[in-house]
Amino acid sequence: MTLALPNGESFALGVTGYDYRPATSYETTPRLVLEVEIEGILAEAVVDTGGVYLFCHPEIARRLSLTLAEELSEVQTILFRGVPVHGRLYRLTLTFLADEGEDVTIQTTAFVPAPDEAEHWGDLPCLLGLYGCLERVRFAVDPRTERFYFGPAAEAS
Amino acid sequence: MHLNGLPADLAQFVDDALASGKYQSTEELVCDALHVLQEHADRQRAHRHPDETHADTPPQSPDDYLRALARALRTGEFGHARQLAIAGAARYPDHAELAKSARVLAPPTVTRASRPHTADIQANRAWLKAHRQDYAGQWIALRDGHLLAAAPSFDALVAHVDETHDVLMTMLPA
Repeated sequence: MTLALPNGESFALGVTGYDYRPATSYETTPRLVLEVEIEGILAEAVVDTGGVYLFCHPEIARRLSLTLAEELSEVQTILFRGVPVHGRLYRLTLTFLADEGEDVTIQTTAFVPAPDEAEHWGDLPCLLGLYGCLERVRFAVDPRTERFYFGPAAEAS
Repeated sequence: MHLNGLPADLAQFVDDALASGKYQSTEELVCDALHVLQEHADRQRAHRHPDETHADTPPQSPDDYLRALARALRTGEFGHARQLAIAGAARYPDHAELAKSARVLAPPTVTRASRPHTADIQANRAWLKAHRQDYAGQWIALRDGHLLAAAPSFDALVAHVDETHDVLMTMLPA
């Protein structure tokens, strides 16, 4: 199932299918859309290697038990796609769900927009940015089978 | 006024400007140049956020670090934000907010999940592929490839779903 490195080591621990489609109604370029768990809640998320952190849809964030998560006390303004967005930064648990192989858990920096940002957020799903989220994940994409391979870049001790 | 020791290109510029007759004297040309510099400085000051007036000064207190961190996030300098959080926490280890900032902004850790998931995500994906267009523009709730509810808003959807364990709630693009 998983790819192998020249030394025989598995490249990935798990693999899942993805949907290749525009992420929103106002976009036409297809993106990789995965089903993931955020703090145990199922959600759709877009792989956004040009982005940062895990950006959580404001409505999805309402389902999360954020009171237990570690957060910065102050509301922050973050530059998101060139637009300042208000919200809070958390340390959240993101899980890649495997069709085959093993699930992988990431302790990631996550930005949760303030509730009043929901109306501007529209149908944009959660976003998995590279910096602060995917930067320690080994991943590969097979466009022929639409499968996304994932695993830790190094096993945490 | 004599302008000595100017770089060759600027000396040439001064000579050409005086020769063209635009300026009657070197003093007039220098005054004009200083006006341009002053306007440039005024414009920069006007566009600068109040917090950024000491942007070049290294943080000297926990509050300085937190202010610099907020500024880095606001301006999209995410790598710098992490550096500030880690450096601030190392310098002031007893400061709770800086310690928390360092933990929240630390590089992610990636491990095997402690237990496998129970939701049937392949069935969800198959349902979405087949029915996405039918429910375009709506919030939907799916469990193991079965539609539980569809609604125009998240609040309306939640009102229709009692048990949300292993339920995918997502908004389908219009």
